[in-house]
Amino acid sequence: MNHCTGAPAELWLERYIQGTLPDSEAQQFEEHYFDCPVCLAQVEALQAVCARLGQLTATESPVQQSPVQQPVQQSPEKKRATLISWPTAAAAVAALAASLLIVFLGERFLLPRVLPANVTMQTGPQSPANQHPPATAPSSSIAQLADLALPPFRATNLRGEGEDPNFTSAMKAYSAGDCRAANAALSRVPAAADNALAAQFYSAVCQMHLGNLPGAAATLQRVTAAGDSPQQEAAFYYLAQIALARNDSALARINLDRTLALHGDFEQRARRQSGALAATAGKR
Amino acid sequence: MSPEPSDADLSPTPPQAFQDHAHLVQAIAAGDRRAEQAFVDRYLPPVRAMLLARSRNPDLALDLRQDVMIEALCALRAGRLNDPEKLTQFVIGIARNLLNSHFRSERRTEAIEAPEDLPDLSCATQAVEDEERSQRALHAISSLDRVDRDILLLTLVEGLKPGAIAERLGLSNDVVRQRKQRATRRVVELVRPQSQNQPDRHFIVGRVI
Repeated sequence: MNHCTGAPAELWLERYIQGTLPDSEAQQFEEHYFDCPVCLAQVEALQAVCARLGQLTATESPVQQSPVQQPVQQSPEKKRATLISWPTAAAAVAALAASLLIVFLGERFLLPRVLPANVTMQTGPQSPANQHPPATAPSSSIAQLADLALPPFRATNLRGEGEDPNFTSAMKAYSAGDCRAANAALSRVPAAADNALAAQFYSAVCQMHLGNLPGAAATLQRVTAAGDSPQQEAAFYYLAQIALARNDSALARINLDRTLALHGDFEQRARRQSGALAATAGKR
Repeated sequence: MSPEPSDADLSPTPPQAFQDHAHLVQAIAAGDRRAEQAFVDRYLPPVRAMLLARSRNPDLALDLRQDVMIEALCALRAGRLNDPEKLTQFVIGIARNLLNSHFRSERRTEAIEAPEDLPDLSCATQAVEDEERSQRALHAISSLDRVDRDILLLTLVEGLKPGAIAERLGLSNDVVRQRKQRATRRVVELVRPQSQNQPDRHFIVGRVI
């Protein structure tokens, strides 16, 4: 039986994954985790996190670059493992690219009609609810990408079949563009109702529309955490929009990726938005 | 594609029997296909992890891990491992040699002559596990606050040291170190399979650490 409690991983894991662990210790750790599922699981876990983080940086850096970058000191062990290390020199170029970004931003604000029609998706799907303007005024190029328009209500079952009456009245208010009334009615939908998850989703987008982005995000997280559902893809998509509106491009990227992975109704929109996000990052 | 196992291969040897290095090596040398499959199931994940850690190239790691398995199985079939207790070091050695050869651009011009009757190296099960792990990683990352996520990213992906990160983020070195350690622990805990939290449920081959 393996009684390892993960102490070797505790000691070596991070430096091993970074490639900064001296080779003798790296070999020692390898000989250990080859025979230790506990430590192997930790290696695989951190490698998976690295891979995902790497995807985030494939299009952008989430951190504002300082004008002067510290050179990265690398040990020989580091060098052996940095075959595909990140070009830190690119960060130094970021400051120069900032001026281009400002120009880019200016163009977006002043000349929105010359942009590709589907990039920013300001109009959203056609529904009475879309008559409302977005809840927040975008203040940066990333926030500008946010699509905060309300999605049209789509019944997932035959009209009235098993539908909670509160949900029915909420959706009437929602379709009329009255988010406050809709939210109030949605809050009365029992947790055990068939429409409970849909109620959470529409409540979240109502909160989003009313400007309560943290509350909307928290509710959408619950929808996504519920697993496979008709609302899951839309929930990821709107989590991405909220992240964009809050200038959190890394989180937006994560949720756009999740949206894309589900290959549903929001796939094309998410793909275009990913491209726009990448283009924005590329102009930095 | 693996051929149908022969009658001899269908012996009722339980998989647990292969958890012992000596038995595993002996069975492979005797042509036991189940032992070969047990060997692949057992060593493919750590070989991949090692190749990935040392190359930082997922595609290369996927490519080379099969070569490692083929070379190891051929050697074990031929009985070239004298001390079964050194099976793990033997596999690590093959992996390291193949990786070094690749890096030195001295990789053999001839492909490894792979026998046709190899066990399943397609790793369909592992692909599913990889995908699940990747999804958990995504959730783990999104559960971090933005500063912690940036610290992890700058540490693990960009290879910056705490001092450089501290300067970039406007934090103290100590805060960066503390947050990095905490964030690393958190994501690892969230990503690794829950069953791994109960070490007693897992066997290891050969040695007890």
